[in-house]
Amino acid sequence: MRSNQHTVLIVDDSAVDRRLVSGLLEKAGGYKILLATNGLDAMDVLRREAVDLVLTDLQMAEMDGLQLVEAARADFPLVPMILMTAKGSEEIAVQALSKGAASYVVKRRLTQELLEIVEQVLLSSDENRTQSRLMHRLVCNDFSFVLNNDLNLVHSLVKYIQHTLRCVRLSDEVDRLRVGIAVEEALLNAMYHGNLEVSSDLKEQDPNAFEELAKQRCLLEPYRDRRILVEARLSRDEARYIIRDEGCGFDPTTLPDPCDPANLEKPSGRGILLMRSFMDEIVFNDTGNQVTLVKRGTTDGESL
Amino acid sequence: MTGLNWDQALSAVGGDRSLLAEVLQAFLEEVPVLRQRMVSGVSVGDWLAVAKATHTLQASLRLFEGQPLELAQALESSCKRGTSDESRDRFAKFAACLENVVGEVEAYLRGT
Repeated sequence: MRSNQHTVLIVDDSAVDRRLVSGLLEKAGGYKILLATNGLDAMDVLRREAVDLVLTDLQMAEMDGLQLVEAARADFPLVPMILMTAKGSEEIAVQALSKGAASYVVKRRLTQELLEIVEQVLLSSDENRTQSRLMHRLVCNDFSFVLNNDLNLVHSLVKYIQHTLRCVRLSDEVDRLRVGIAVEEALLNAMYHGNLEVSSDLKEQDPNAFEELAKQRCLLEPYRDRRILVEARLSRDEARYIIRDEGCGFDPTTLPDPCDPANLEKPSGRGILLMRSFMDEIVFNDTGNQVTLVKRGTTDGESL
Repeated sequence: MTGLNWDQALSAVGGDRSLLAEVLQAFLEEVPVLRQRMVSGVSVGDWLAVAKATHTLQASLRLFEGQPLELAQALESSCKRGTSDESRDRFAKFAACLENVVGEVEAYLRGT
């Protein structure tokens, strides 16, 4: 059951469908209705008003439903979009669903299905929104992971790290992406060069042989039993990641100078270059099997 | 007259007669604009413009289903294929049908 009024934006170039859809929602009660005649118009409304849900037609002049889904997803990711599909728009509907639309309703069945679908999407969205509001009040988050040498786990951890950064609002979207890349490079170094002891030189000579050797070593002792240990501490001022492998380590002073443009095209040292570029501080321990990455806050941060 | 299916139209608005009247009023306001776009498109062979206007009109005709909607869908299809002779022929049939629909809708609204 909904407990408060929701604002619904109806986007359709047909005045008849705009009136029909808004009429069905008004009859049900509990909705404030806003109208737009195409995607561009809808984006203007989204910038001005606090919209809870968008119901959009697909075939429109100016900006169609598919373009609207893409644009709104980028700028208003918490606003769910429901497609209103008619005969002839099935293909574009499938594309829009893959691009981020939350659901769809067939125009011929509006009276039977519209309210149920709108309620369902709003209920789910309210939960997401509440969760998001809660997470935005997070002030500190410590976590530790122990990973085996699994590339999928590395990628998943990077996504999780980016999500946690968004929660503490430490940095903007671009910096979150860059921190994710820096941490991923550190994790890959720990896995390939630390635990599996596969050298960058081999990657430079033969990338396929590099991957093949890494794959083999994932099954061989002592490499297969080595783990990547990750500790993180996030606050609104700073994100600190400590990544340690269980390999033999290396002498960090032997790394090629990452600031030398001549080294830019070499696979060796690329990860360190990205880490140094994207983080405010990177420190290796003496044995070279642990790196600490630090990113300091760049946004003012909203008060709690 | 086309003999519009008013039971179907009422069902399409959840049985709400006042909503049906509002939707039909929107239809009457929308038709002249869309019809003009279609006429202009046909005169210069801009079949994409005709297809778009026809597509938008289908929102209204979906209320009644039946022949008007079928003629509109057929016109949109031929316009998208860009077949000029077929599209002109279909436009003529649809335009005549649309006149009848408008007349019947106006009569319905006068009686409510």
